[in-house]
Amino acid sequence: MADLKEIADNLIKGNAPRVKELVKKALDERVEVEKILNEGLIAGMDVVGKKFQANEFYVPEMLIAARAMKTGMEIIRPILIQEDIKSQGIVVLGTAKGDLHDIGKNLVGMMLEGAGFEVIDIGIDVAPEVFVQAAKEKKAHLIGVSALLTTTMVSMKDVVKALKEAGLDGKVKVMIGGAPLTQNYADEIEADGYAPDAASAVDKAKELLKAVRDEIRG
Amino acid sequence: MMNPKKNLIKAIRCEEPEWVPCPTVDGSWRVVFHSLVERTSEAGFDDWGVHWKLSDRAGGTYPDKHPIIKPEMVKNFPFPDVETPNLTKPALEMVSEIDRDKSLLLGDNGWGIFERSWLLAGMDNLLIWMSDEPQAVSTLMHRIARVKLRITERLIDEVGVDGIRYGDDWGGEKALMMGPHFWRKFIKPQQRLLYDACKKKGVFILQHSDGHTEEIIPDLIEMGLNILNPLQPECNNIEKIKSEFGKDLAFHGAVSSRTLDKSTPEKITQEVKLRISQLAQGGGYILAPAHSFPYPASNLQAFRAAAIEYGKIPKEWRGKFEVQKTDVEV
Repeated sequence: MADLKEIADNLIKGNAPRVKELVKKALDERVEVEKILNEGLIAGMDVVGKKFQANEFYVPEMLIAARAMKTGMEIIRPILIQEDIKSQGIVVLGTAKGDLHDIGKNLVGMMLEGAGFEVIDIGIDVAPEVFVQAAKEKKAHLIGVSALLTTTMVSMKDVVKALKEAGLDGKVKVMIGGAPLTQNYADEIEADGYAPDAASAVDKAKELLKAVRDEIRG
Repeated sequence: MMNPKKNLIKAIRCEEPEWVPCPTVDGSWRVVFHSLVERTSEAGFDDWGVHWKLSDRAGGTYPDKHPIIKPEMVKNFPFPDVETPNLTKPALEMVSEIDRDKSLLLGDNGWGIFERSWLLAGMDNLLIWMSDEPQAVSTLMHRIARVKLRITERLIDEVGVDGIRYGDDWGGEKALMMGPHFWRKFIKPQQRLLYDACKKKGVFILQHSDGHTEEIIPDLIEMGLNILNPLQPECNNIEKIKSEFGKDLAFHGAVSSRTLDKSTPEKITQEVKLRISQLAQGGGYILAPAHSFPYPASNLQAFRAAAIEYGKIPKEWRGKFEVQKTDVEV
C-alpha cells in the first residue's frame, strides 16, 4: 500500500530517486493523483519551508528538496493536465530591471511550485513591460518581483504602473521581496503584497489569490 | 605619541584607543592588492577562467559563465599561476606612497574560498554538490585555498603587510547561506589554513562576510580572527554580538549602507552615534560604512562629520582617504 507520508519524508530528505519510485508506486496502486500531490509532495515541501524559516534547513537542503519535488511533479504533471486539475494559481516571477541576483527569486520559485503553484520564471533583469506582457500571455494571477539592490528595487514601481496602464490592476496582483524591501515600500509603490522570505511568500501568494477569486466572484 | 596606526592597533586588540579609528578619515589603514584578475572591469575572463559580463545597472561586471560544470572537472581544472613574479607588484607600487609609520598595511587576498568555488562551479551546483559530491567540494575548496595561501604568504614576505584581508560572503539575511554545518565541514578547514599562515607570521587577520554570521563567530575567534567586517546591522544583532564576543574580536563597519544610500544626513549622524555607543566601548570598533557604494556626496560628508565628532578624531589626523572597497558587489 502506497504511503504518502513516505513520499513527503523522502522529499524532505531530498531523496529524488526514492520520491520518483514512491510516486510511481502510488500511481500504480491507483491512488488519486491529487492526493499524491497534496499529501505527498506539497505536504513535504511545506515542512521544508517551515524548517527553512526556522533555520533548521539552509539553501543546500532547499535545493535538493526542490529537486525531489520536481522529479515527483514530472511524473504526475501529465496526469494532472489530463484530469484538468488546476494549479493553485499562475505566477510570473523575475528580478527587477537591472538586478542580476537570483538566489532569492529561485528560492521563492521553488517554494511556490512546492505549494502547487504554476511558476513561470522569466529570469533576471526583467523590464516592467516584460513582466506585464508575460502575465498577459500566460494568464497569470500574480507577478512576483525580486531585488537585492536599492538601486534596482525602484523599478518595481514601474511594474505596478505598467500593470495599471494595461488595465490589469486588480486582476493580476503584484508581490515584491528581497533584502532591501519592506512592507512600507510595498505600500508606498502600491504593490499588493510583500514577503520577507521564501516560505512567507507562499502564504502571501495564497492570500493575494484568494482576494482575486473573491473579487471575481464579486 | 599616539598616531592613527598605533591608535588602530589598540582598537584591534580590544583596548581603549584615544579615538574611534575610521580609516577613511584618519588613514589608519591602507589596503594593497595582488595582481591576479579576480573580476574583470570589462566583459571577459578572469584569471581563473570565469566569464564576466558587463551590466551598467549592476555596478559593473557580473559572472555569467561558470567553467566547472561537472564534479569530475574539479581535480585537474587549471588554476592561475601564483608564482608569477608580478603577483605582488601592484601592492609594492602602492606601498611606496604609504606612510607606514602612520598607516597599518592590509593586503587584500581577493575572492574567498566559498565565492571562488561558486564562481567556478555555479552557485546551484556548488550547494547541491555539498550533499551529492562532498569530496569534489572539499577538493575544489582545498585547491583554491592553496592558491590563496600563497597569495597571503607572498604579500607578507614580499610586501611586508601588517595584516591580510580575507573576503567571502557566507551570510544571507537571516542565516548562513550554506548553514553552519556545511560551513564547518567544507569552509572552516580551508579557512583555518589561511589564518594559520597569518598567525605564524604574526600579522592581523580581517575577515569580511556580508550578511548574518553570528553562529560561526566562536569558530572564527578560535581560529585566531582579529577583525570581523562588516557586521551589517540589518542582519545581525549588534548589541548581542558585542556583549558576547567584544572582548575577543574587533568589528569594522556596522553603519548601514541603506542609511548611507537612501537616508538623510540627520539619520546618518544618529546612526554613527548609535554604532559608536554600541560597539566602541573598551575598544574593538573601527568605524566604517557596512559596504562600499557610490553614496551621495552629502551623505558621505555627514558620515565623515559624525565620525570626527562622535569618534573624537583629533584635528591633525582628519585627512581624506578614499572609501576603500570592503567588498565588490556582484
